[in-house]
Amino acid sequence: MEGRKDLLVSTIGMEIGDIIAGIRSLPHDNLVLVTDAAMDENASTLAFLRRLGIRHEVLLVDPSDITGSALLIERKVQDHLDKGWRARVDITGGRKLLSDAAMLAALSTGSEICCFEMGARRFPLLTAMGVREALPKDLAEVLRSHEWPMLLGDIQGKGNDNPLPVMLRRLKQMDLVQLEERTVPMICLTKRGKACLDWMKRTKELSGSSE
Amino acid sequence: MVAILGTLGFRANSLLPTLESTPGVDKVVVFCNDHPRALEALTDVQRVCSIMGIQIDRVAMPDAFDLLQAAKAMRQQVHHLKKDGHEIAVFNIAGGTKMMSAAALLVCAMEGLNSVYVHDETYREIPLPLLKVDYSQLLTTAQKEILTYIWTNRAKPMTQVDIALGMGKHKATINHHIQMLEGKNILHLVEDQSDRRRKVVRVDDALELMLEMD
Repeated sequence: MEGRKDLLVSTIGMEIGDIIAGIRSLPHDNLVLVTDAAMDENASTLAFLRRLGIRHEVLLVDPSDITGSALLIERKVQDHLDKGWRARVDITGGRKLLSDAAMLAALSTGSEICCFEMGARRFPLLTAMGVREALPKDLAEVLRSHEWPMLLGDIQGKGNDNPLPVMLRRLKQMDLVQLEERTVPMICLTKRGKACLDWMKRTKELSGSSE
Repeated sequence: MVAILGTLGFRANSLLPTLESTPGVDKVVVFCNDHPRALEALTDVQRVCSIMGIQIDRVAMPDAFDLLQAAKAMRQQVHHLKKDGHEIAVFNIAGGTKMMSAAALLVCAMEGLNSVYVHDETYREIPLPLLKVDYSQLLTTAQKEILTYIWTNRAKPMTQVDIALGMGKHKATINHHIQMLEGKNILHLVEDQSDRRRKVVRVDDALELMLEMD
């Protein structure tokens, strides 16, 4: 593993002390500070880091949008992973929503999670924890390309050679769709299904036309 | 039998939307610490549960700032509920300390549970994009055996040769798996404090969570 570069993503609020333990103990070639506060609010924190000679970049996220925040962090991490970097996410600093967003991004990318609230804690994670890795491409396509909800009757009319019914069963096993008895029986997205579809759509928006 | 789980801080409102939106719930398990304001919020939730005819269990969090301990306690509850035949509809992660919320999110991923956040101001529920996946399948049997051996013998620093000898496996096999696991960030090869020529395997306390996936 020698020669592999390390990314450290740290969530930060107004307390610089929260991130120092991570910066000191986790090796990194690039430091990304994730904050939901405007830059000028954090000016003293950032100036302090500059005085210490700690190079960093700042990723500003929207505190009212946990999914959007998670996606921005995920994108930053994934860009590095795609280049062969290793990534760690320190969730000690900042407020709860920020830590949760960073946690989601780490889960989605299989990055190690670290926190220093009560001594050093490091959580190795497996890839395939998140939507990007864990949702098979064919199922993602079905989720993305169909109008929801869909009429059960339409599906029942499909021939045996049509792959859609099998795909829907697989989506049901993953708790992404469910049958609902409305005026007529409909196949609807579950809350989890809606969240995953939202994640995929927003990922696509963030990446522009590259995906 | 349908249960929901929730972390609870100072505001009952972070949990109540999930109680209202989840159909068929007969049990709520709430994780909260002993802070007077958290207990006040708990009383509010208990009152609502009483009106709705829902049983409520409280799991005390002795240390609401220790992510690992919180995750272990939550995981234990998930296993109990599943063993008792409960379907866990959703885990509301909005309340409690930052570390309680993060622990809940981690447990949701590892157990494949639905998770939901509640907006601070609008109290709107925001489902989170975590998939229902059998994460126990993501490590091979051999990798699990090696990790279990390392975890069981973590008190003494071991090289890859020590592990091969201890497990009665070929060194090349162990080396291969160790490399794979190191690539996944699950273990680390570090210099032995007593002999810098030796590289020993180091694992973190949180590995225990991963080994309990089955």
